[in-house]
Amino acid sequence: MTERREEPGKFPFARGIHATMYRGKLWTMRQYAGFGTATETNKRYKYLLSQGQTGLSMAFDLPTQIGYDSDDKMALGEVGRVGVAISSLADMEQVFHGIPLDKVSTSMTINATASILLALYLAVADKQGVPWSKVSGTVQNDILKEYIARGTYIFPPAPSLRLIADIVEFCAKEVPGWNTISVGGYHMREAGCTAAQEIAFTLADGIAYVQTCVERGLDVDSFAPRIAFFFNCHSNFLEEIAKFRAARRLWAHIMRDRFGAKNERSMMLRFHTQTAGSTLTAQQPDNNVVRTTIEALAAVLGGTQSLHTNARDEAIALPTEESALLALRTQQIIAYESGVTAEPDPLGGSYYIESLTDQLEQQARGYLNKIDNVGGMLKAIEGGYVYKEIYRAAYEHQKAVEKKEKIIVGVNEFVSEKKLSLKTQKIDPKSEPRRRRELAALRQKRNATKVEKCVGTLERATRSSENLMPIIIDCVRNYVTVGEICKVLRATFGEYRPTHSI
Amino acid sequence: MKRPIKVLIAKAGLDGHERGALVVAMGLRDAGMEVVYTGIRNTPEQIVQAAIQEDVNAIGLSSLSGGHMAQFTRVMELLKKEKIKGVLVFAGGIIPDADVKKLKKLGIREIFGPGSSIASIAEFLKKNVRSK
Amino acid sequence: MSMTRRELTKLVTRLEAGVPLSPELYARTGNARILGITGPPGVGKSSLIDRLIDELRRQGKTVGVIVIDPTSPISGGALLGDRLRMQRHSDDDGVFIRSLATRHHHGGLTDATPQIIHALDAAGFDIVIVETVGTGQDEVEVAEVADTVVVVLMPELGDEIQRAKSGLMEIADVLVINKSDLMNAGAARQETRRPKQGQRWERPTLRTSAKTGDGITTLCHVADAHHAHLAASGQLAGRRERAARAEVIRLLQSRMTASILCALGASRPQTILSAVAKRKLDPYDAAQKLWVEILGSKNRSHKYVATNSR
Repeated sequence: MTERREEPGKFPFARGIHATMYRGKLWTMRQYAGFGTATETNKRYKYLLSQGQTGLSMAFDLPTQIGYDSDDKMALGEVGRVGVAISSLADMEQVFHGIPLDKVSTSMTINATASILLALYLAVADKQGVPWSKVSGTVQNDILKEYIARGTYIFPPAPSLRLIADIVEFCAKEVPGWNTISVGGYHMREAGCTAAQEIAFTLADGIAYVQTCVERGLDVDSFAPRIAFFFNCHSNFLEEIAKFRAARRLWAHIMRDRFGAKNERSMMLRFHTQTAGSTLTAQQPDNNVVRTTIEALAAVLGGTQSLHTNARDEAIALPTEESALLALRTQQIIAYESGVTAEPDPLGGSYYIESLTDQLEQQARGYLNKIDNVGGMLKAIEGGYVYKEIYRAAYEHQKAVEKKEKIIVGVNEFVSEKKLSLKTQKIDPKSEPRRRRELAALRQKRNATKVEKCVGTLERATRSSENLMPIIIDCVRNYVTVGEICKVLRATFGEYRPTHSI
Repeated sequence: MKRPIKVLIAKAGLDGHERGALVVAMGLRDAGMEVVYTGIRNTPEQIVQAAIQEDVNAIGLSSLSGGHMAQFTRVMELLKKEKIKGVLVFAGGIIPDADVKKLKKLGIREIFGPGSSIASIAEFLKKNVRSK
Repeated sequence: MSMTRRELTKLVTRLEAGVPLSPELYARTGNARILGITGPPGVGKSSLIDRLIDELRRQGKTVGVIVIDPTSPISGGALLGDRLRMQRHSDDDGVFIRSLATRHHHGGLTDATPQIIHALDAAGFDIVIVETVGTGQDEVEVAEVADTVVVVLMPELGDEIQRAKSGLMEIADVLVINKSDLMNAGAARQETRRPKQGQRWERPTLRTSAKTGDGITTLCHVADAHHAHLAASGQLAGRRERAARAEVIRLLQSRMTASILCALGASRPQTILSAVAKRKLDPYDAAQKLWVEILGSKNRSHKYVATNSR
């Protein structure tokens, strides 16, 4: 262990980005939610806000994420499944009906279509009379990990990076309270990578984004403070705490030394955490409450800025209202009863935690060097390096579980015969045909001339280097749909096809 | 030489979570099977056509997005339409109990939920695949 | 198409199992153009084929594709992952893709590949594309089955090119530097451009990018030109003769191997083999003895087969 005296709130921020941490302000409790129709999601949001949740986290269905309207044939069976279906401004207005956008901050898990969903959000703010300067929230806007692990890509990397930089540039001027990228390690970890790989691959993605924006001519300190991160919190309690500390220390050095950032806020790694969905089991689902509690505690001891705790039934289906509430209560108990909020980085100085932190930092540096050596993250992804590393680790994990070298309670040990069944949340199968009818009506009702004009402007702009954000906002205002906008972008940008394999 | 069991592993619909499908593909390979892996975003039509062209003994479908009822039903319909017999269909992913019953009625022989071991899947296939 | 896909797929399975193609079907072959694609691992062969299918379909041609992946020597299983990159063509009636595992065959193809090519040919496909296993060893067998061999490399492949030069370069009719989007200099072109010696076909070096689609149309044109050159110069007939000869020799070899292995199971050969192990006889003398015993007399070798096989 190196001899060092690090302090919370000071460079390189291993011990936390604030000097007072949770004594000053608790983390944001942000439960990822959204399903079915806009009306159902609106109802769930109002309920969560009434129960003391402090920020909204918006889940979209896969067609919305991959740029298909609910009535597209590619959307078969997927409408409203893993999140809310948004095809036009009408849907977005409905989701936030009665929720003033200057009173909440909204985090949207959206990547390939981030610019369109952000445009929709800003158009709703306009309709509510809320100025953009009062709007706050986050778009995930992190396409690189989609090529590796989550799979909701549409376009090839180069135009995707352009769309990302468009958002960054636009928000730096117009929506100062918006977090423009949430660089995610969560999904790569879910896909099976290790803690050290999660740090490295996430920061490598972050480096690629910062690099892109710098190359566009933006001053690093003008946008870097608005880049946030999104980590997983897995079951290995102490390793996870150390992981967050190591990631903060590494990022601070990267921003200062590699990119020459001057503003300390550019060097601070702020992050959202979600407990690990892949640690949840379908067997004995109540055990998941305990797992989630341990993981959430690690995230808090690791200094997270916001937190989602998984519901116990998520290995079986979408969470019911009851289990979603229990998940929120878990956080509230940690925040208000456990006492761990009394001191910033309470485990700092522990021999084991400090040496684990150093170890993970070293390992992650090793991966970052490898990525630099192959020419950066884009090449590492396209060459299949990252993909192979992750799925190899996933397979090793599976083998270890099957050989009982790793024990999963209730799955390969301590198995009970009695099957405990839970009530699960159901999606109304009639909603998909209903959505088709609604969209047909919308296409009839809107002003066709305006639609045509906006789409034409967008088409031309995609071929120039113009910032697309204002044009997309204009499109959505005139009820051009997500699918229609993406059709234009697909025509110019082409579609990404995976080239790597196992 | 006896032909190894040939299996198609595919993800239907738009769901991009590949971990389960990939781990099963690698596991079945190591259990001595020939595994055709077709990745994410397959339409039911593509899955059935691939199964025909590859002349597989079994098809494993994976879905974690909740779209399984619509997509798996369509796969089963197409298999019927193409008069494919003797191809065993199994599935995995996040599939609620109530749907498991319905899917089995459609002819999907087994559903392997989270926590299923690859050994159990391999054993199931070895026992139930009609060798050609 | 003269047979349904169901019939074709079942036929391929039988061929894979070692059942020979019927003479009637063989008589119907010889019309398809056979395009072999080979090269070291990771150069993007499958993605290139994916794009080639696009282009050939645009020209209205039907395409049969054979893609080969290695069998694991330990488990006997195989992960056939090439199809993933062409899966979007699965529901196109004019395309038929079949993945094969090597099942321990060396040389880049599988035992039944020549027969399966015939099957796709007989089924009426205009073009049959064969992608070799691509494990980086010399996979020159493809030259025995293809009319046109495309060797695929990529930029910044220094060592691979050195290794490939020995075997692969000799069989290349067309050299492709794929992933040209990664290219920053003419270095790769310089390094790999060397004309095939003693032949009039000046082997071209092309740059393609399966990622962007650049160069694919040119590749198709060049492959057409090569085929036209073969036909015009009379070399096509020569190649097909060579292919037929290689196929028959291979079948003879496998028969001989089978009967030798069979014969070795009998007691007298066993005695000879253990004499070698005990250093009472040297391997060459043993082989000579067995050669005479097993193959020297037709009757005796038949007897061995008869007693040991069932």
